Amino acid sequence: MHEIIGSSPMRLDGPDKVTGRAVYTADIHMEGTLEVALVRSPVAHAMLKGIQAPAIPDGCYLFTAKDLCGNFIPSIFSEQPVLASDHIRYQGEAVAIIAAPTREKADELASEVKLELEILRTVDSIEEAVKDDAPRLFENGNVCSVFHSDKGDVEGALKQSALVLEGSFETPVQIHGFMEPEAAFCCLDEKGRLAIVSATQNAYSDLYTAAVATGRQNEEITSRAATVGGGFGGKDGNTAQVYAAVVTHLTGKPARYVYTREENIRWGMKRHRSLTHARVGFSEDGHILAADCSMLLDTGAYALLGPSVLGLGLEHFTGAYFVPNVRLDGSLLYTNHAPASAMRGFGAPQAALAFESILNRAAKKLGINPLEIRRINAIHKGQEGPMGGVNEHETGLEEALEKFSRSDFYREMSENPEKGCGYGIAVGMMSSGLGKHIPDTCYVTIDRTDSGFTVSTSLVDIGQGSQTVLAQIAAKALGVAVDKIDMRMGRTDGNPDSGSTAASRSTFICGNAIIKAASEILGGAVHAQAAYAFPEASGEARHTYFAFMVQGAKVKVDPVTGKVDVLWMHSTTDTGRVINPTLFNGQVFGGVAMSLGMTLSEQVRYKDGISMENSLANYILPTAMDVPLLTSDFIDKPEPSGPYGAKGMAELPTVAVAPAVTAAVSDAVKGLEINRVPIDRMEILRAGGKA
Amino acid sequence: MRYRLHIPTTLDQALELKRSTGGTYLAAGTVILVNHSHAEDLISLEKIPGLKSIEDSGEAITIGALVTFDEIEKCRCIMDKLPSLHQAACLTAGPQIRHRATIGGNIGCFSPASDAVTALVALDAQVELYDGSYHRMPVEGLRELKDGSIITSVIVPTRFCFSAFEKVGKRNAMSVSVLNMALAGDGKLFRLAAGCTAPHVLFCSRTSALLSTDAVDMEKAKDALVSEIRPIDDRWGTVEYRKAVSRNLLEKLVSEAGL
Repeated sequence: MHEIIGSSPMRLDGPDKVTGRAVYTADIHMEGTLEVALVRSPVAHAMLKGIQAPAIPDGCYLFTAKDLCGNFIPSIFSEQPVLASDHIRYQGEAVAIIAAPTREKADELASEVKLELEILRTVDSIEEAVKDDAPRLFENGNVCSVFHSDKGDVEGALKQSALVLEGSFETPVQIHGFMEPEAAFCCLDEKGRLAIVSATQNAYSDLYTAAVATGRQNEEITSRAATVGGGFGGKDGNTAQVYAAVVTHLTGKPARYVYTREENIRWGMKRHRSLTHARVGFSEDGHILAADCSMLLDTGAYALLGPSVLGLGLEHFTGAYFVPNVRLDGSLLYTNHAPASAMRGFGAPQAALAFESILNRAAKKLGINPLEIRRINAIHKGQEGPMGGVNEHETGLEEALEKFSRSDFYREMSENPEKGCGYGIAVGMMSSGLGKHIPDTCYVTIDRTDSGFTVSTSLVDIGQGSQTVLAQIAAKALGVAVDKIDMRMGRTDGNPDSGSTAASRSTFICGNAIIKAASEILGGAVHAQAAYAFPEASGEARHTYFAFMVQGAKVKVDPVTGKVDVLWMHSTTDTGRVINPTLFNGQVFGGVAMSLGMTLSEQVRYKDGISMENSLANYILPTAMDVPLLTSDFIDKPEPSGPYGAKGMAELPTVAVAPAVTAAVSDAVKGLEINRVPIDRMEILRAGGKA
Repeated sequence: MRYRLHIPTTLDQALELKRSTGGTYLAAGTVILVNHSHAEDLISLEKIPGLKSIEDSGEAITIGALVTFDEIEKCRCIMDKLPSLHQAACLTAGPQIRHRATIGGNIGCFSPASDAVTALVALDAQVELYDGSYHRMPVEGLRELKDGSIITSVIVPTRFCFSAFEKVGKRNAMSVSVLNMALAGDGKLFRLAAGCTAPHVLFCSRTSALLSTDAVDMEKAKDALVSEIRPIDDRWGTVEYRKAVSRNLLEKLVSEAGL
């Protein structure tokens, strides 16, 4: 039998997806299903004084906050209502639920509901939120959470630095851009339980949210993921689920709520817009001596996972390097925008634009090669991270830099650059695991069957291919072929809560749980359940496992229009051992394309709290014609605590794309420093004297 | 979205339906159906014969209103004789939409960002309209379709030995133009048109006149262009950007023309 780990068997969900047999949430039909629409606020900030409902015909329903048992969505602060009942904090916030036999009818009724509103002044940006006279979204003001960490003597070290570079940077609101919009279906099962099926990253979270809103016990609800068409963080938490669940609970009828693309773009979760600032001190030979870093994030109207995003963004601010003196400061701010929450990279891409850009500029000023400045600062196993915790696990950044230096990309860049093109390099680092103090355990059940084994967990494959990778791990652990493994994922029924498909954790944590359960099966059991908890970081650090990626960008800049064409992105990764190289490359290429979008064209902008972007015609995702040549390789440095040596890497490819591209643009347009993405073509025209 | 779909088989039937229902003419529907038009009556022109041919008379190429962008893209005589229109067709939307969308429908949308219309205005093209009898009008001055007129074809002169088209989009396909520009010249007289710079595609008459003189003063021409266009700030671009790029694109087109 050939080696299972490190090979790429056909993905288990592939045949169903290419033949159209895969069942997504919107494909689920049941006789008598009610279609759901929300009455959404037309304005971004107001007090709700009353709701005037039209006559609701038989067979149609209208529900407001009064119909809910509990009116909050469980999250870090749980301050977001299911339905706004007094204070409306963003345009599009849900005020009432309409259910009708068709979506058209539901939309029509929703449009006839009149809201009595006392309009308030809008907080339309981070810059406005921090002003003294800004309207307050909450009694305590607009600061949702703060983060601070201090290590060493930053000011002292900056004074002793031969070179201190400083800069302010900005990144936009980005959407996840998944193919399948947010969707949920709910019905009563044969036991009278609420049965939720949805596009979700976390089946248990949907169950808990529905329990609050309906007053049901957890045991009276089941939840499972349908085939999910992408998540990237945007389906980590409630989107459509609670509304379908409330309708079924109150009517006894099946209910379905599928976001339109406009709802997805305007009111789906977002990547936080960021304003960052960094002052970094270097010795003459390029060692980083100190970093003073700050980050402001726009979380929109509610916190959701924002406090964690701020923490992770700052924890990753100084990147893949050992820095002896570090100050991290940040605030998460409320504004009258649709809430931001998790998005692939979780704060790290925002930080990397600042730190990697400064590092590239320092290399240039000090006359040091951009790979070399990263090599001499690369963090090693056993060194302290920016918050003081020791980096206890394998770090392969130096090996990745070395491999990158031998790549075709780097050879072209350093020896034979194409005329008229620019080249840039950046390094990304990304943790895996939810982080200290957050329950982070995965449960796996293995049963021996007549034809092989079933492997069950509540974790969801959201399209990234984890069921194939986990089946490979199970096959290896049980000593059988992959086709003997029947993966059953994404159901609460019969499975304990394994948390979310998030934080690049599935392969690592579920893989380890599978290996543990498999050892019991190999000992003779026919049924085994095992739990594996993510190891906690030491000291003040939040995370302890990191993967690394060196990325190179080649660009061509049109001096006439200021347009940037990215021609080539090459990535070299350290993620321990790669279990499935094809799926690994899928993650790399998809992540690179995603961040190229943020770098070149994607953004949601607000005017009076209303988004300017509302369709895929004006929210500019890259097309196949915009994605460049993508190449990828990896080093093989197994992490002893990982399943067969693997570390998580799903988010990593998004982290350093923007600073690699902006460095390449600076290389092509001499004298231009870019601190803001998406890249403003006017900056390029001005630098080239063409404006 | 609910509507009544009428499928006339002659132009006169279509006119009659327009007058009796007040409906909207439908060519391929790539705009009307995507924009969720609230039209209650749609009058499809698809089954009316005679609107789908491309004919080269030697002096002009006549393109039927229902000729698709994809057909323009693949048409040898348009490629050879009207390179700017060919280029504009190739850069419109993406392959799937080009396979369906028609030149007549595109003109009938009166979009200030239409790539094809910018090329046609520079090429001094005319539309043929039917309102019971046939009329011709320059594409340049066409702002509306009066009395239910139907665009039946567009007639594009082939006298220009030079023509070129430039488009600035936010991405490389499926992109609304931020700015577009076309230049056509017969050796003596030049015609410049620009899109996304006014409420309709603009024939830049003063700039064209300056380009048609013996010794072209490029700076003067660029200044004239910037004073002629009236761009706005919108989600696609700013006035500042559109003015800067207008100057740069003009320079590029003029240099291609060898002026």
